[in-house]
Amino acid sequence: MTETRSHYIPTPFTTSSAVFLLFLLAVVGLAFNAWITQLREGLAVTGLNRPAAWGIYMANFVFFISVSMSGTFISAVIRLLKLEWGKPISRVAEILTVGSLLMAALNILFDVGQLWRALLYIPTYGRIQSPVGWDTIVLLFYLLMSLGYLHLSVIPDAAVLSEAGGRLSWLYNLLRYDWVGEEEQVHLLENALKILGVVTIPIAIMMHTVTGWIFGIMKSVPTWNDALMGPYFIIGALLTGLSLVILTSAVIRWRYHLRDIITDYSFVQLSKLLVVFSLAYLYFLMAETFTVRYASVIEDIQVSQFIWLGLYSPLTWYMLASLVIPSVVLLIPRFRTYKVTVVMAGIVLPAMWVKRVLIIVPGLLNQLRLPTVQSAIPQYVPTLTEASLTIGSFAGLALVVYVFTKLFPPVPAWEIWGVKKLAESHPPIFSLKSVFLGWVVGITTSTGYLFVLVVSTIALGSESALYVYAVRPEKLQILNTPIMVNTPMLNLLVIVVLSGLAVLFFRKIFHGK
Amino acid sequence: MVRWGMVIDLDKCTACQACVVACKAENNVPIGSEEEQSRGRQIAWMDLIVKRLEDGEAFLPRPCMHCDRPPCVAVCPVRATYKRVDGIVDQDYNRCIGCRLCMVACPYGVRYFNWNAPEWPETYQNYLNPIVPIRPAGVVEKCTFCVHRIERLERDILLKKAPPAVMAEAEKASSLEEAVSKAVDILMKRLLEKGDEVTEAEDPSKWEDFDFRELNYLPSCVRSCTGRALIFGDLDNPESVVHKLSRSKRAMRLFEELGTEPKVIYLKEAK
Repeated sequence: MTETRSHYIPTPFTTSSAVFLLFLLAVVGLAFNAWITQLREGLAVTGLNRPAAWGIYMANFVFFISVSMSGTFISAVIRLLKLEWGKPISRVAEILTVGSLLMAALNILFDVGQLWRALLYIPTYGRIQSPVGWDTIVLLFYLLMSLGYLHLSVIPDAAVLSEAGGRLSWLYNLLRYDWVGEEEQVHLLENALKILGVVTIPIAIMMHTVTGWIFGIMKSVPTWNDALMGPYFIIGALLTGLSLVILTSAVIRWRYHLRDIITDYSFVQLSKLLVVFSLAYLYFLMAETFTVRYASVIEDIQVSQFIWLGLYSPLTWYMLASLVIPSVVLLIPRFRTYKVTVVMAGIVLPAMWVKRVLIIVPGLLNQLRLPTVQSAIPQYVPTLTEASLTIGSFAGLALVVYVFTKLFPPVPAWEIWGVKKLAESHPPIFSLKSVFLGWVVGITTSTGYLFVLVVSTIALGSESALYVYAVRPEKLQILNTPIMVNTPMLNLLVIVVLSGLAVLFFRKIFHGK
Repeated sequence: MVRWGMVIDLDKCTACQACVVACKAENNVPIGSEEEQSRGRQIAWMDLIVKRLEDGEAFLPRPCMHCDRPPCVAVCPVRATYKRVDGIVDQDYNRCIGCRLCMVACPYGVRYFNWNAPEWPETYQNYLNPIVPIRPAGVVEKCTFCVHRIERLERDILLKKAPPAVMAEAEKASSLEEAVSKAVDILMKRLLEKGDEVTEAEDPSKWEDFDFRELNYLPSCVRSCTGRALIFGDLDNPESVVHKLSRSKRAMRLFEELGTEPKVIYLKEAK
């Protein structure tokens, strides 16, 4: 009994962990300083210019979005397909999703010229037909979903930890609700996780599709306007996310001595997934390159030449090599071992970041098809500010994961060592049922609300909402005329009605049991 | 309905860049520096496209195309840029969040980002145009077809302060839009026929003729064009100069294949 319990308790906070934490905090602090500088002096401190209006902030955004695919999606698939080998890595995957979505959101905030306006105006004046609108909505949804998923799966572990006492027992007490480990509660928890998992999968797919569409809809930039963009980004996200999950799991297995829990077998299974995804990615890369080069549209071929033979060609060939090596090596069964898998994931991950840069920058550098007297030679060199914010984002992700693993077990202990029966300690504020109900209702309500918002914008907003927002000159002074669906009162009304309906619906389900 | 458009006669253009300078002065566009220029951060709402050919170079003045189906408007997340009913694609500097989606979406590269706060030399401070807002750092700006000048003409017609020849036509018009459309056309024809000579040759106190300042109702680049190559007016008014010229056999538009339907029409004799 005590031995099992020791698995639940996070490893003690030693000097080395303090040093590591301080290091991460220092890197994040430097990045924060760089951000303050950038806010004070404007985006002039970056290497961005015209036509390279987007740079590595955007690449980071896309990269972190694609990392987020790892977590809740993979974890949900593992749960729904009941894959035993996947259970130990599901916690890592979930926390990586939450962390990377936060970093993605931060990177898009680094990129905007007017930070406070972006925070204030996107919620108040946001338009559905803009890719930013789609991305904000889906990102918030995915974050909500991942938080819900993580929160629910942590409850049984928090309950065990709250019994152990310690300085943080208030936190664990808060998170355990009335969990005592009864059969009925376990059943309820697993059902709730399944519901969330089912809802997560379409949202995760839309998340990456929509991110691809930011580029796919841009007819002005050569090679971007491509129907392939959505699926391409999904495969890219699967590959990126999976390799980061492998790397993080390996680090956790090494640092927390979980060799017996996160077994070699799990890594072997993951390596099979890795080889499938990297082969699929190579296929997409081939499809893209071949059609562009065969059709030889003058601007597309210029970009293609630039990528494969021009200034950026070392990066491209490096990226290609980093995808080919794992695909070949992991195809051979006797190389599918723990060590090789980790090394291959380590090769893939940086290459995927480079690929993000290669999607964004070369297209833009060739975007200025009309060179004017006052435009410079297209170029883009990131500055120190951009570099430190990039490194800071990666450190931020590491920090989120690290702090989490110091607070909670890095593997879902209740799923591996079985659920423990506990005595009820405090009268909790919320019951477990109300928490489940809260998440499920919240997610259903917001999905329904979003649906109503989109449909009514299209239906009521007439032409303006679909394509062009025309303003009569004499009404130019009234710039803030909101379309009907954007008025706060209507929004509130819709939320209230929908949540009412959702509560009625789910009360029936939970009470029927 | 008014649909403002511009015709640029490349056979008349001398590539003198008067339009570029006039635009910068009129619209409070920062002068910029050599360093900004080399870093690709120069702002020029009206700029000159340079195309290198086998025998020399070809030049095209390039304002915003004010597309009928503007890709920049479609992607703006907060409606900071929008198409007015008179066809002008305008920018709301107080709404812009600086996400630069419109810059990426524009195939003509007419959108400019303020990488830093605009600066002018000390001596220039008193000569900024008070009607045009100064843009802060972190917002996107673009050519507006000198919308403030058109609005001033509208106001003057309503207040009956416009020049008599313009007022005479305006009173016959059934609506303000029609009046403005006709007024701009009268001014444009006047500019094409006589230009600035009027102040020298004729008596400025006689209101049958125009004071040369009245021509300032026209966009700054059009007003300052030395070769009279830029022509502005209502594309939907069948009487107007631009309408007639836009039907010319020499007419072409940039990147028509993208379906943006630009309202700036270039005229060029085929070789």
